[in-house]
Amino acid sequence: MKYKILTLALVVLLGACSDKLDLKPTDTIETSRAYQSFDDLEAGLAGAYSSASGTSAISTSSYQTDMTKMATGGRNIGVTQYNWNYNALGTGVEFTFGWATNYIAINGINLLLAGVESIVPSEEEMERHKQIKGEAIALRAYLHFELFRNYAESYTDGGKLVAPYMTESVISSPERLTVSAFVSQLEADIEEAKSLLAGYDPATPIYVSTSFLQALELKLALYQEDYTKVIAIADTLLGMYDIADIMEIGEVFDRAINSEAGVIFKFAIPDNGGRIGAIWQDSNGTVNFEVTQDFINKFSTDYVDVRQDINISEYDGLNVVGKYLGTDAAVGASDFFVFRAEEILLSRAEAYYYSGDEAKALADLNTLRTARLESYVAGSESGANLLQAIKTERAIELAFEGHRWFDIRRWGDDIIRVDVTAATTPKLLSGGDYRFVMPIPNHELLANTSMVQNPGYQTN
Amino acid sequence: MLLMAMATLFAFSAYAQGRVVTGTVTAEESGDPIPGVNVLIKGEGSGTITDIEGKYSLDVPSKDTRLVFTFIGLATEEVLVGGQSEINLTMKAEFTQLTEVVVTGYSEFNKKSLSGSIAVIDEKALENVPVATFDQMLQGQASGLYINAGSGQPGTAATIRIRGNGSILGGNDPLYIMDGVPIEADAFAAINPNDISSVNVLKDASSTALYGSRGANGVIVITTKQGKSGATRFNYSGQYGITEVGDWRYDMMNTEERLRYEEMTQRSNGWAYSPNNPNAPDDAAEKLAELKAIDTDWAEVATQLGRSQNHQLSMTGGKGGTSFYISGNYFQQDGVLLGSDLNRYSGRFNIKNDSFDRLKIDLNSYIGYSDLNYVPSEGLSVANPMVQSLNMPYQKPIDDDGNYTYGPLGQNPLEWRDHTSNSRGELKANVSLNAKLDVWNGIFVSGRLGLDYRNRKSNQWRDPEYRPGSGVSNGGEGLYSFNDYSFFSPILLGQIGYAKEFGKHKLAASINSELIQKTYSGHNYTGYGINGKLPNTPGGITQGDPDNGFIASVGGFKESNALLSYFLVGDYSYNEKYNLTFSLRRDASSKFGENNQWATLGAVGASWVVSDEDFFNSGLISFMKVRASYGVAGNQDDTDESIGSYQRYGVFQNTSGYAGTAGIVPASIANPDLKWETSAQFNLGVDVSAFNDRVSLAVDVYNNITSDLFLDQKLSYTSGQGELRINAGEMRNRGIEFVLNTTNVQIGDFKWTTSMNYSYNDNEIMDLGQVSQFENGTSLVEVGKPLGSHYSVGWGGVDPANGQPLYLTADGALTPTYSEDNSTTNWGTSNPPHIGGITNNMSYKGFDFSFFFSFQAGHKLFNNQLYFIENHNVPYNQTTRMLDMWQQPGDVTNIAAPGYAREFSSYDIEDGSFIKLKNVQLGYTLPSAIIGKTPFSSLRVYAQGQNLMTWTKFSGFDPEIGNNIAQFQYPIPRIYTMGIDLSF
Repeated sequence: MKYKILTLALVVLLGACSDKLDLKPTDTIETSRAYQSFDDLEAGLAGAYSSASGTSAISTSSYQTDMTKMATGGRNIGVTQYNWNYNALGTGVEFTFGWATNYIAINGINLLLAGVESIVPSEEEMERHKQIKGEAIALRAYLHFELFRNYAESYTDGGKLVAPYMTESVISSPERLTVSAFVSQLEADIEEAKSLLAGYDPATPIYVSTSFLQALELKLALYQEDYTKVIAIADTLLGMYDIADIMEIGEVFDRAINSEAGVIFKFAIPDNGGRIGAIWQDSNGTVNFEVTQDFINKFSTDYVDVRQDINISEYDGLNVVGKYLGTDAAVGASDFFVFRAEEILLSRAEAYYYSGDEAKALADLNTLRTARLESYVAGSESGANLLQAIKTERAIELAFEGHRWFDIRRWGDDIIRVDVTAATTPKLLSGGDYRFVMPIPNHELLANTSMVQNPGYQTN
Repeated sequence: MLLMAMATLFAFSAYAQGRVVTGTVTAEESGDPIPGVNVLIKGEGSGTITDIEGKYSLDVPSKDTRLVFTFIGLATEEVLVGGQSEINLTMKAEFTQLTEVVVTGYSEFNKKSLSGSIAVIDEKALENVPVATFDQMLQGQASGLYINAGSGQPGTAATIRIRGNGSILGGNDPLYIMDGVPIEADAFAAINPNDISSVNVLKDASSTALYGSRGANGVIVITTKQGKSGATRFNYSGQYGITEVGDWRYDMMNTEERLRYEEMTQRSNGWAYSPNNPNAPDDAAEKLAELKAIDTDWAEVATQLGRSQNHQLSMTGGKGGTSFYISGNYFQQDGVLLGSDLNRYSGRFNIKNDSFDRLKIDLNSYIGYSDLNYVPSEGLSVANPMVQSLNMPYQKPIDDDGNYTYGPLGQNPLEWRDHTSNSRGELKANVSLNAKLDVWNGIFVSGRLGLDYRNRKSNQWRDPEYRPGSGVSNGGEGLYSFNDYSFFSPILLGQIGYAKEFGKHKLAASINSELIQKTYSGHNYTGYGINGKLPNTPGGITQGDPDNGFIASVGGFKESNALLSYFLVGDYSYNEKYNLTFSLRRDASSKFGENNQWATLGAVGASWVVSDEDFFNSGLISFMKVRASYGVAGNQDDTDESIGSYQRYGVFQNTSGYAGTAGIVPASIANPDLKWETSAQFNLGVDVSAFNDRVSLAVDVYNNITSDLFLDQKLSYTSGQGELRINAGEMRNRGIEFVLNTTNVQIGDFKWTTSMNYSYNDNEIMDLGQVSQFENGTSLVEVGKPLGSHYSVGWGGVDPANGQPLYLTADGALTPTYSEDNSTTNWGTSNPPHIGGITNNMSYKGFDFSFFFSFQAGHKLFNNQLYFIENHNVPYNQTTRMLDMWQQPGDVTNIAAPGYAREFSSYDIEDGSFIKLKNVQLGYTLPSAIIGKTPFSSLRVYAQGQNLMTWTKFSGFDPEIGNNIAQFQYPIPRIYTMGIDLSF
């Protein structure tokens, strides 16, 4: 009998069943389970904000211009960008200019938007449901604009190529759209988001709003040289936002105070998030990029400019970027400033100038200078001097915030460096050089047979 | 469990007495009595064992009883008791190589009828080797088996490959089976090698196909020591010795050389205080003299002389069909780098019972605990003691005020030893419980329950008062971190089989089902703001808040996967002359998607013992067998690292979110088509023995093609991810293996045997799917090239005219311009095509002497260390080779003048071939005439040296770096020990 029992017991071992194979991820969420409730949408939106906050524009506008130079004691980071040596094949080039980062974030948003469509909100969730969709589309528009300003062959020629515009999550090999097709999709997203966010007034500028969308629209118009549109939108925005005054501006960049004066939108970045200060300086103090004399020379010699202390700080005998010092507990931590009223004002000044209204351009410029230079007496530049003054003011006011590289490209100006790291450092990048347009990463060309490279870059 | 089993033992000793047979067993060759011969009652499994004088005494049930005498190396004898009360027996030597039983985990084969390719490493090769883990002991012991230690930290796993690398991303570790139960690869620190009785290396498809979806990389089957019934015998083996760092293969500058170098390059102190420097300060001569008075050998500072000891006490015995093996072991070894060591405590209990007429049960159980102190880094980090040897020779380790000094690295190895802690406690348990029941007429059912468990608790501490702790980024006041990691893998095997002999026909077949689960889990925390008065305890952590910056980090994970298999195994043999083996299986892995969850795998093998044919006119050749096999094995990445448990799923992951709201972001794209890599393996072998078996040779040729390689397909980033792991491409390994065993001299009491093996493996990537090449670190994975091909710009030497470094263009022309675009794969592969080993054993009366070489050849290593020790542009101490730098036009040298960028080039790629004198051992066994007068039954004393000599052109510390790139790996130590083996 006992052998029969044993036989039976052993035979049972043979019957090990296949439901043991049905193992689901435990520490991650299966895509099909990601959006099941309304709260999941809030989590998805938080994820979208955090993945949209890439700061490659800041490093590009610093490493590749006349603002900073490589420090000799540094770790050699950014050397390719500093020497304008980047190409399609470089290691990590898909991240350097945001190609991968932006599309990864866009894909997350498209999955969120699919989730938004699949979840039916309750009566009291209705309003927020609409806002979430609006915020997601607004961020999608913003990320596509980032791709536009890095990769578009031209900002103004409607027939040139930009990049694919992604509105759904799909594995595919999409073509680069033309500027006009890309921009019209971008504008469509802005319009849709505007209508969804109408009446939504977030308590802090760390969430996108209709103002964010207007600022984005204005920036696109400025890049496309549609000055009438720039002026019209700027009038609206400047009616809502005052620029930070001479006392406030320092507090905007002081993380301990965190003033929101003039801030239309900034990405909130936590202490343990990607510290913007690390673009120039490691947390242990090693300086990788220092501020150039070329930048210091842009400051007025006649007046004390409060921005000098904001932008430049001294460390170990070097002039380092002072805008993102962070706190003692979180060195280099800062929010990422995307739209400020000062940018709107400067853009309007530029738009007035190019529209031939020099008086209004000068007035806007003086408004800003009065808010930055101590005991400032209104300037009276005109013609080319006025344009130069607007450009200089833009360089100083928006320094290290991710503008300068794209502004120089837009203007078609040369990048002229005097204060450089080494004798071999290139000092001139002529306006219109192919390197103002970023290379489509080789990874994309390999993976996507519909992809074509920007002119000037070798492909493999 | 132990107590229960002990109770069982005592119960068995109460068996009734019956009729008694006594006798003496002697060896035919010498006429000496043989102790330890198994004398068993046929069909019952009960029996005894001969004593020191070869005598036995056994109760037998009746005169029809047959006694079976077995002893390793001697032919088994069977005697009918009849009316005899005294049976004396002379046992003959047997050609051992072909009658060994080969264990493959699921079944046992007589080696003679094998058709696959299996290398057997017996306990002799593993006995008394003063190395912490068994894997390192296997180097050079079997053909087709590549082993490279990689690290001299006691307890660290070696890199092991069987017949080359079969996979690019899917893991190349073989599967390890211990007593029938799979055990984790690369986690052997807590396993006691002294309990191992044999290791079998399964290399071809017909041998490994039993392991289906896990056998593609070969299988290493470990069998632990089993009990022998009879009077309880004890065995103690102990050894004690020292460990020391081997030859430092690169010569760092001493003070005189360093100062001269600095003067030559017009840099630092040597130039600042040089009499030739017009700007030297007034007190230059004084300062220079001060520096010259110091000459620190940092290699000596960063290393230590250590101890190594091993104590093993085992007992074996049993009665009435029950036998047991119990062992306890303590192993201790210091590392050669400051502050590292290993302590291991382990116990094993193996018990077997076949006293019932139809049921056999055995239990193998092991528990081991290892306590490891390791160096803070074994890589390119200033915390690595090997790197700290790059400090300046004119720098004292501790200054006259008793403070640690900091050179160009900013770290001091003595400070790391005294004010940090890095330790790891690892608990390992292995259990296998087997039962086999004969049901009726050759039909049997059997089952196996097994488990493999490992828990590792690691912790690190940095004293806040000292530099390693004050440099901690969160608050700068030290840290204490803790990491708990567990691995648990149960298996369940059920078998219904049939085994029967019909005259000369022998048939065995079984259907089997097996379920294997693996679960990993872990959690960790790191706390900051350590109170200096509370060293090396979590109690010293300060509660963090945003103001003090001491916010602790916590994390954890869990993951599990499962494999389910149904398989059929069949063997047929006619007169042990014609042998056929066959297996077919269906495997399902939880890792793969619904589209490809199940795979069909299998193999066939055949062998023909030619020498058993009537037409075979033996002459000098006494034995000859031809073997062939073909089959398909699978790989689902048993490391679970490249193909994770949930690889096929598209998932979202948690993020810290935005402004206080927790967030989720997509992390991967689903691939429901993910499936096994499969390896089609063909093997052809010949075994020949000649000259009265004094020479035996085995030759194998093989051709293995891995298809559906795990590879990353590049995706357009517009899809949200840049890569998707898919199955594509093909890679081939083909090669030839020789094993030659010879008895060179056998005159009187003097015997000299040699055992040699040599293997050649040719690896080639045949196809990579979407692309034809991709870069992987410093190597290029390219179709038509072997895996591990170095990818670098060619070095063109130094221009004698101006001292400028020259490079090669892709076409081989000299150029002063360095461009990565000129990289080529002309620099060889990091995987050695040639491997092998040679062992010589000599014995004369009680003396035995052996020496063992192992070699690996034909490969190149990227010596990344040279960038730090042969580079004008770094502030570290340099090798003396740098003194040969170019100084004036016409100088022909390989060292450029200062002032040029130091680029990576083929200068850094060096021949990695080596021959090592791995082990030399001299022993003496007391003759039985003397030992008979002591309470002991045998006694052997010995002295040995491990890793005594290395012959290589490689200029890094040791060519055994475990991978393709030398980055100040922990050096393999040289070890000398003396030991004793004692039985009583």
